[in-house]
Amino acid sequence: MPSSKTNTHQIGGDQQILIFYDYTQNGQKIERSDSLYIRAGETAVYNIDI
Amino acid sequence: MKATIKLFATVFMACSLLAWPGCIDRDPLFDGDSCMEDCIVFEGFVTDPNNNVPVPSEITIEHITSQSIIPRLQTIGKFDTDANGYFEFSFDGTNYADGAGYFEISAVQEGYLTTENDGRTVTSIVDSTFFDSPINANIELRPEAALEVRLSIADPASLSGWFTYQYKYGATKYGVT
Repeated sequence: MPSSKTNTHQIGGDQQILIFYDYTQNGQKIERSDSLYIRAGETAVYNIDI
Repeated sequence: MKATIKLFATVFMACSLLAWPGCIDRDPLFDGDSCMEDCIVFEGFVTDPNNNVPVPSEITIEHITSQSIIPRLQTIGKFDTDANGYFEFSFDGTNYADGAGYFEISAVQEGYLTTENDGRTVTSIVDSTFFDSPINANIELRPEAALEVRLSIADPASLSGWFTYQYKYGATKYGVT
């Protein structure tokens, strides 16, 4: 059965952030990184679908 | 020995009951401008690092020591910057001459982010060698925003161990498992 989880973090706005994540799937270690721009006063949504 | 233990227990209980997890004194100890000699002087600007615009703010200076079992927090001063985000605050350094503990200086303004890692600066050792010379304490205050991370797993049975992610900006890295 699919599962999902959402976390929200207070963060400084108007800046670029880097995001890194890793997990092990079917015995294989997977590492990913990405960047996104966070605007002041807004909530930036980052989706991770695995 | 018995008396020492009793004294320690009394202090411990008093601190615990009054301000767990340590001894916390929120009343400012100093007014910021009446020290004449052997003064510790903090000065700096509060700015938004995105555009270097000054951010007039409320400043709190705290002194934290953790040499004993119970950390002790003293509020040294609480005051406002001027319209240019500038502040200067001096106080009697006699009780801090040995450099024990550290000072934490934080800025608060509505619409800006002040957390454990944002909107504050922490000093390294400040002892009597710093008396009467201004110590730079510039603070970066970023406008508030939020990051929402949505994780969807199609087949949880295919995963083993932990899923972890981190995000990084400035010099700070935050991790979540």
